[in-house]
Amino acid sequence: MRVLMIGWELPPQTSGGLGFAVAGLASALARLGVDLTMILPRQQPLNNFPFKVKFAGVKNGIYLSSYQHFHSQNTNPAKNFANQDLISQVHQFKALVEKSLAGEAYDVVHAHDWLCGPPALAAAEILQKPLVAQIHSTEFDRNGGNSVGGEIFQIEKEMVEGAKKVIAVSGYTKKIVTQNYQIPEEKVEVIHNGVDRQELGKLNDQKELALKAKGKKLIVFAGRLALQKGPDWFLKAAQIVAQHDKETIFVIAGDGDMKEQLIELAINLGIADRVVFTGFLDQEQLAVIYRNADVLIVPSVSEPFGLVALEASFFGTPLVISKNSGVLEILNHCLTVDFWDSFATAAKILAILRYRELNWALKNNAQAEVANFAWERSAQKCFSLYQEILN
Amino acid sequence: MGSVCFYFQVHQPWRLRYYTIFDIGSRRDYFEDESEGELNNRKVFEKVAHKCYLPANRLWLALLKKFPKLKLSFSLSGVVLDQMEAFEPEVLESFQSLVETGRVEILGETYFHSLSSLACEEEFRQQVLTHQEKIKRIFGLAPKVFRNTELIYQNSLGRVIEDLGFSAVLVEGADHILGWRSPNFLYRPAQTKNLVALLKNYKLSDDIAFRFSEKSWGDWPLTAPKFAVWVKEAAKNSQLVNIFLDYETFGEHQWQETGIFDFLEKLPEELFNHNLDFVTPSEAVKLFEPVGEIDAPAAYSWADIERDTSAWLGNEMQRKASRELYDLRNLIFSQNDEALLNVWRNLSTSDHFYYMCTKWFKDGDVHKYFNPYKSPYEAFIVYMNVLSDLKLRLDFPKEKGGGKNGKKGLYGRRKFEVLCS
Repeated sequence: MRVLMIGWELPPQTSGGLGFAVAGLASALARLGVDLTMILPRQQPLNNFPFKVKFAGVKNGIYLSSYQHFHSQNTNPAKNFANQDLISQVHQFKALVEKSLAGEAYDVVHAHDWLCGPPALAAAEILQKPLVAQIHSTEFDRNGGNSVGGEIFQIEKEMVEGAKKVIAVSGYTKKIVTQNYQIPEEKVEVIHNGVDRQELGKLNDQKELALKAKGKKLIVFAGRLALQKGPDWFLKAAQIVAQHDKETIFVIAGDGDMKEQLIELAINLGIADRVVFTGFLDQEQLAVIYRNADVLIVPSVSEPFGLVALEASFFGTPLVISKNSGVLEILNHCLTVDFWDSFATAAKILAILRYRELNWALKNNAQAEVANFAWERSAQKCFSLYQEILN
Repeated sequence: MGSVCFYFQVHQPWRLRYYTIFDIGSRRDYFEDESEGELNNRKVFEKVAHKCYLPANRLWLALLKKFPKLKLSFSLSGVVLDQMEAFEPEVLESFQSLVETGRVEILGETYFHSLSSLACEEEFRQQVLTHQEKIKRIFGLAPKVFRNTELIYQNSLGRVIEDLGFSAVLVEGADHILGWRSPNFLYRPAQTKNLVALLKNYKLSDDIAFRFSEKSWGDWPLTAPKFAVWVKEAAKNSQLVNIFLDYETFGEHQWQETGIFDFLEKLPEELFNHNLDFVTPSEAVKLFEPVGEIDAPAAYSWADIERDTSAWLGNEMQRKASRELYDLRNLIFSQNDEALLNVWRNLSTSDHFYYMCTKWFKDGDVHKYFNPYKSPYEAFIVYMNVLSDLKLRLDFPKEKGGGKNGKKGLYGRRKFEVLCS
């Protein structure tokens, strides 16, 4: 089976969870024997993947099947993306994909999120093959539906309408897709993300952070600093926790548009001395943070999946997760909160710090549970979906 | 000809309201959730009363009148009797009416439906005695037969039950205890002199309790004539068939729509038609002799496939919560405060620990398991927070620099200590 997968970016150069999710699924599909070619909009450094990668922006395209490293100064892609006109990049990507397909043959086109929507629809048209549109996040998650009718919303709508099948990364996302884009239920398949335990297992830096060594308790937020992820709600809960436990330090790991606003908020809440902004962290550094964290908070306003929760669980960090998170459909061993309920969030953080047995149970049970969420499981379902379409 | 012994368990716990760390030291209404949810004890009780207790009691009363040889037994926890008094006295009266027929036996148990038999013998004895007093007061009876919380039993408990004056104990007819032997006889528990054990026929009991409305079950739908034949078969060459059930099976676990009440209504007649007769546990003790010994070196119960105590004390959180509770006992007693003791004892109810159970996730069988807190972790947090508050209310005997703060002042001062412990 030959699959043309259209992606936006791959590790190590990623602006968020999307690149990791796409890499995880594509690698597992390739290991299942799928002949998979990934096309990306521009040249970038790459980890070692078991599938072919093609850069649409490079003349004649380049296939990579083994490890290639392009030195890049760009350690913080999130910031760069924010300053560029994404929509015009997407249209440029489409034109490049159209050109690059001459003489190529595939059975299925599989594309991820609106960024790959226009090129995917074009590719499916040119190849006369069915499109699988996978939705990791929608405008409703990013903007709370404030941009309905906007250009990105429109692109998303055309993508899911034009697809033969839609994959939603959670039931939560499926609901958004069916309700807001008027897509029939039976057209949308839920395939939850997984974790690459082997890759995460390689991140074995056991370093104890200085703060931790001094007896501080680390409460961590990890993710893009965007409204959707709720870092402001994290700080509001932090203020309450700080009053009740003098040894707590609040770590914000990640970067994004809201950084200045968050620094200001920390000052206004009177907890600036208790908050650490780490800036953008790579996987290696994040793993150290997870290992040292006493609690990880995922206070997302809307979280289609929440890979960070699975990754932190892998490293044994107890979790407090927003109820608006797709990952809760598979992860049982965590505490849940309404993201806006700062007192409840604080109470749960304090409970984890206070009751050792709770901490152990969350840690051990979640760690054991994560073992079930290999990417192979997701890939199997995806493979069955391909077969279903092709028959 | 053989005999059938019906026993129904009636119990509702005092569920704890959501109680956060910030509530510690500031509120004591632990059991008084006022929400529309499943922690509101009054609402839950009223629901169960109208779906189960009242209609089922009405039905049994009618059947008892119709069949002069029909006999039953119930065990009611002290906690559920308290709730009947507080919420719906009508329910209590309906049980009294059943007992007044003279053919309904009431069994003894721990007042608080607790796990005290596993934690503290002295506490266990006191809870049994408190329950006996309550039963005497309400029904004018002295229970002769004992059933422990969730049929938890082990050899060491037999001696205590015998010492408390009971003639028999109800236990699970678990395979690992019986081996090749049948549950349909009386047995003598190991290390006891005169005590006898009635063993639950779990196959027939679970046919009603769990499988009655299970459409994927080969024997669905279960009808009274069909079930009566199975009982007759089991009773052949036996002493008695023990059908032990949670009373909430009727109308609450198995909804009225499943036909459970129709089944019940027809069942006695069908059983009589097969020449089966009904006995209460006390009568069984008089009628039959034990045929062998049962040996239970480790505690076992009627719960789950495992038939052990892991649903209540299987994980670290549950054991921690239980340890914390019983560690407070001496201190609680030293307060000479009945209300405080009652709160502490209501925290000993097994349900609190059941809600903290995590083993269900492993089986992927979460749906079988009901938890009003939705999460075992939430249940643990609430329980531990309440215990923390309870500790704040206690006068410690040897307070350092005693007398510096009056009794009132201690509450505020300890708040900080406990929060930081």
